[in-house]
Amino acid sequence: MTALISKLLLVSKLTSRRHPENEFHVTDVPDDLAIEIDHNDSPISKQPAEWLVCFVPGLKKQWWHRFTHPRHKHVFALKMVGDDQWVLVEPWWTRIMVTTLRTDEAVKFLRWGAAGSILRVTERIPGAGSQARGWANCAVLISLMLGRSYWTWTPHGLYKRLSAEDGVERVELDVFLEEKLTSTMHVMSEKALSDVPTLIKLSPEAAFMEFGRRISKVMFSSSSFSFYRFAVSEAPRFPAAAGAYFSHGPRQAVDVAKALISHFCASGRFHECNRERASRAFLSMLRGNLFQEIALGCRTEPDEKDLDLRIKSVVEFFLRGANDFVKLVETHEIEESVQPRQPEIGAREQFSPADIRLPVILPVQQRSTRRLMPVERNVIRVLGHELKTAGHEA
Amino acid sequence: MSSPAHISDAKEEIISRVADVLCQERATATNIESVVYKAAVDRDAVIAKFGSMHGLLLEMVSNLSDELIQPLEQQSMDRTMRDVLIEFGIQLAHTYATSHLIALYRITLSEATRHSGIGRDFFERGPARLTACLARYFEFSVRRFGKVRFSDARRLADNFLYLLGDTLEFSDWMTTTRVATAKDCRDAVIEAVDLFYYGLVKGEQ
Repeated sequence: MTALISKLLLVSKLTSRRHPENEFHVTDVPDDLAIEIDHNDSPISKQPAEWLVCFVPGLKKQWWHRFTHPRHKHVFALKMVGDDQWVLVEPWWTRIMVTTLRTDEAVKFLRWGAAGSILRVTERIPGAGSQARGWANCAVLISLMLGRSYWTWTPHGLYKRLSAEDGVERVELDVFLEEKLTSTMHVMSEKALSDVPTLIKLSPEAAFMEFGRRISKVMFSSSSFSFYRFAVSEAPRFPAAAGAYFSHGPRQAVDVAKALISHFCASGRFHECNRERASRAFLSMLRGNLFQEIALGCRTEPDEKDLDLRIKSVVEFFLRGANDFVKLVETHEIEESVQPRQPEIGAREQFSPADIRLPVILPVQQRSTRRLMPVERNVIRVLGHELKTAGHEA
Repeated sequence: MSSPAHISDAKEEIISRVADVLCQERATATNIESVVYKAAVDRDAVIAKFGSMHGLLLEMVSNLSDELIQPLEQQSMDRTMRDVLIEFGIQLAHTYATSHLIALYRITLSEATRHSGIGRDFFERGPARLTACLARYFEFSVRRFGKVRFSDARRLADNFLYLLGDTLEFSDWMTTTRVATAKDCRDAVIEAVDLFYYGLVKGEQ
C-alpha cells in the first residue's frame, strides 16, 4: 500500500512539473513534433483535393461479377498533383496500389473509367468515415479515403451515394482531356515562346540558336514526352484532345519558326523557300533520332551540354547545309562527269558557248537564285571545256 | 514438315493481310492483336511463324526498312549523290504517306509504356537502321573519290533523315489521314535536298 501511494505521489509530482505548453505531450514522441500539428492532428494542413473517382467494369471475368452492376464492378480514384503528375489509389484484392503516373499512363486508367462512370469528387477533411466499417473492399476503401460515412459495400452503391451529393460532377473524359491539354500546352508554349519577337534583332545564327534552345528545353522535358505519347497513341480515341496538343504546342513552335524565316527572307539574308516546310524541317531536325529514342523508351532525357551541342549542329546545318561535304562531293562529281543533275544542263550543251540565257530556258518555278547557282556552275564548266577544246583545235 | 519456302510464303501472306488492315485503319489502329484479329489471321499461326505478336510487328518494320534503304544500297558510281538522295527521299515520303508504317509506330509507342522492349527494337530496325545506311552512303560518297573516312556522317545522316519529313513525329496529327500527292512529295523532297546542299543563308554557296 505504501509503495502504491508513493508511486501515485511520484506521478502527481511529475504531472505537476509539466509545463502548461506540454499539455499534449505523448510518451516517446518528442514535444516539438507533437506540438506541430493542425486542428485535425495532422503535421501539415492541406486543402481538400479533387479526385476523379472511376467506377468501372471488370477487365477480366470474376465469379462475383454476376452480383454487381454491369458497368460498376470496381472503383478506384485518381487526382492530379502537377501538370503531368497524377496519384492513383486502386484497391486490389491483395494490396492497395498507390502510385504516381504520368499523363499518358493516367489516361489508360481514365479510359477504363470512361467505360463506366467518372465522378469529380472533393475529399472531406477530416472526414466522417470509419475504419471500423469492416470488409475492406474497393468501395469501402475509396469511401473511407474520401472521408464519407456511407454504409454501402458495392461500387455501384457508392456511385449512387456520391452522385446524389451536391457539388459532385460527372466527367466527360474527351472534354476533360481537351481542356487539360489546351491549358497545359498553352502554358508550356507561353513559357518557351513568349518573347521570341526579340529574336529578330539577332543574327540568323544567334536567333535560331536561342530559339532552338528554348524549344528543346520544352521538347525534351519529361512532361512533353508524356503529352506527345498521349497525343500520338490516343489520337484515334480523343481527336480533339490530340488536336489541342498539336495546335497549342508544336504548331505554335512552327509558327514562330516561320515568322523568323519570313523575317530573314524579307531582309534578304535567307533564300526564298517554302516557309512552312522549312519551319517544320527545323523542328523535325531538332527532334531527330534523340527524340524518337526517348519517346520509345530507349533512353532517358539528355543533359544540357549534349543538347546544346546538338542544337548547334542542327542550326549550322539548317543555315548552311552540309556545305563542306557537299562541295567535296560535287566537285568530284563534276570532274568525273557523272550524269548532269538536271536535264536542262545536258540540253545546255547543245547551245553555242556565247548563249548564257539559262534563266530563260529554265521553267519559272526553278528560277530561284539557289537553283540557278549549280546550273551556272555547270554551264561555266561546259563553256570552259568547249573553249579549251576550241583552243586546242586552233 | 514445312519447307523454308513454304514458311516464307506463309509469313508473307500473314504480313500482307495484316498490312492491308493497318493501311485501312492507319489512323485508328492501336493494338496489334486486334489488327491480327480483324485480318482474320489465326493468332497461333502468328506465334508459330513470328514467335509473338511483337515478332510480327518488328518483321513488318524490317521489311519496310529494307525497301527504304534500297536506293542507298545500290552504291553505283554513275549517279550523283543528289539523284540518290532524291530517290531515297521520295521513297521515304511515299512510305510515310501510304504504307502501314505510321500505324506500326503508333502501336509501338502505345506498347512502349509497358516496358516490353518493343520500343528499342522498333527504333533499331527503323530509324536507327535508316540513319546507319544513310551514314554509310555519305561515307561511300566521300570514299569513292579516295578521301579519308568522313567522321561526322552519322550526325549528317540524322539531320538529313529528319529534314526529309516529320510525318513520323505527327507534328500535324492530321497527317494520319492526309494523302499527299506525288507532286507534293517530290517538291518537298527536292526542297529538302536543296536545303541539305546549301542551307537557307544566302551567299554560302
